[in-house]
Amino acid sequence: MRQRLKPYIALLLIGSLVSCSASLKPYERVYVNDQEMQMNVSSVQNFGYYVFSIREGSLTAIGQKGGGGCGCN
Amino acid sequence: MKKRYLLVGSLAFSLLLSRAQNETSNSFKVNETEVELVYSHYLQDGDNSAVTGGEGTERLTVYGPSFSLKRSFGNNVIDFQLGADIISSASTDNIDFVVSSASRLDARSYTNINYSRVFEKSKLSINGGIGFSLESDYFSFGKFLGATKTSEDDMQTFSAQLQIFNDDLRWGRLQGDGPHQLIYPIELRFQEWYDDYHRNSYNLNLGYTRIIDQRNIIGLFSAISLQEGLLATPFHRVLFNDGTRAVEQLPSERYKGTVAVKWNKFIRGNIITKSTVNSYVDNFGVVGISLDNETAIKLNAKWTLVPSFRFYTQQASKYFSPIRTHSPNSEFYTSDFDLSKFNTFKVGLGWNHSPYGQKNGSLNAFTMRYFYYHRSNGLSAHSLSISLQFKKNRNKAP
Repeated sequence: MRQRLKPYIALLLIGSLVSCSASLKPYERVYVNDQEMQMNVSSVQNFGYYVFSIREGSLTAIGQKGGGGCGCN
Repeated sequence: MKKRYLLVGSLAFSLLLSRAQNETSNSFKVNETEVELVYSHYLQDGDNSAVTGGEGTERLTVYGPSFSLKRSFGNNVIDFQLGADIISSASTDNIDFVVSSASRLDARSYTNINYSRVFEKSKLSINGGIGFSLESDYFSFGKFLGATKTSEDDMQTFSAQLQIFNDDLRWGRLQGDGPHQLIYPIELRFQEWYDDYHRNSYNLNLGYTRIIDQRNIIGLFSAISLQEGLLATPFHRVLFNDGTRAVEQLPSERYKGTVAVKWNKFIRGNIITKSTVNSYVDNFGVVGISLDNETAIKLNAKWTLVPSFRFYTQQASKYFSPIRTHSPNSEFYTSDFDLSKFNTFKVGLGWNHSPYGQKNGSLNAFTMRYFYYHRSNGLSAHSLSISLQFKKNRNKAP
């Protein structure tokens, strides 16, 4: 029973984290505006995700490949 | 009485002035050009090549240079990318068992062009683009359409992107005589194994990011994908348990779903952790989960060290079985170990260099990433990527 509830508890925790946050003033954004804090994936990171998308039978939700290709080598 | 008029007049004038200032700041338009040169080098070895039925070398070297140009002017952004992966592969050489045959050296050339338009008032950005990818045995035509919306308080972003790839798996584009047929292993060319050579992919990617507080950002990402057409690779052999052989057979439809949660945390003055959990499921029976961490350690204003770690575990596809274990009576079969049960880990190290105070148009950022990758069935790989970014700002002071 506890195992079944775990994903829902995790979702609830994420939901409560997301909903409870208050707005930040411009001067409070020093850390969140840092280049390293951004969610986007760089070109060099994207090459790694491209390798994983070929060598593993799955797909990642982050770092999607932008171009097509066989990946059959 | 006069004083009252004077006060009202001054207030009206200051309101007018502040409005004029806002209009001036709103009309300030970005005008800059970014150029990025990337080189990736990839070395791989293993003993489970699908070309030889699940046994045999997977030795591979990829030399991957690429160039990208991003031009921002006003509310418009044009992004152009051109690249190639030159692939020296011992496994695909075994399609026809002739050492140093044409299949030993292959190349994937690709290009993408995207246009984005930013609507400042509504904090909305829309983008669209096309892309091509060309290999000797593969041609892919991609189309992209997306939008990103930022909330009024700049605390949340919502993004959606639709990708469509229309692919053609026929061989012969780089040989000069054009695409004419699917390429099968040499001993299996006595018949046509498939009645289709198209593969279409439809991907929908959704993203949501939220600033939690001054030091935490969380992102939820998901992707659903439908593939249809020829999903098997024509030159993958399958060796059956009765000694006969055939080419790989897979269903003509594949549905994929994936969800990821990413958490970026600025721990102290100089340490940022980026952690991701990604789960995946599809109708081939593959179930996977990955745990990923990258930590950025800022040594000073210019140098950042980036160690990283990733663990991935996967359940095998219901169509996978190793060499000489498939029954020839099965409808679908593959011995491609990319669809087998395994765990992988990746350890990496990178560094970023931002040479502040340089001349406009000179080097803006230098990035290097190395990783070692190991799969529990013996495949291992080394990868090194280097990126040089240049930025030229043509903005004039308002």
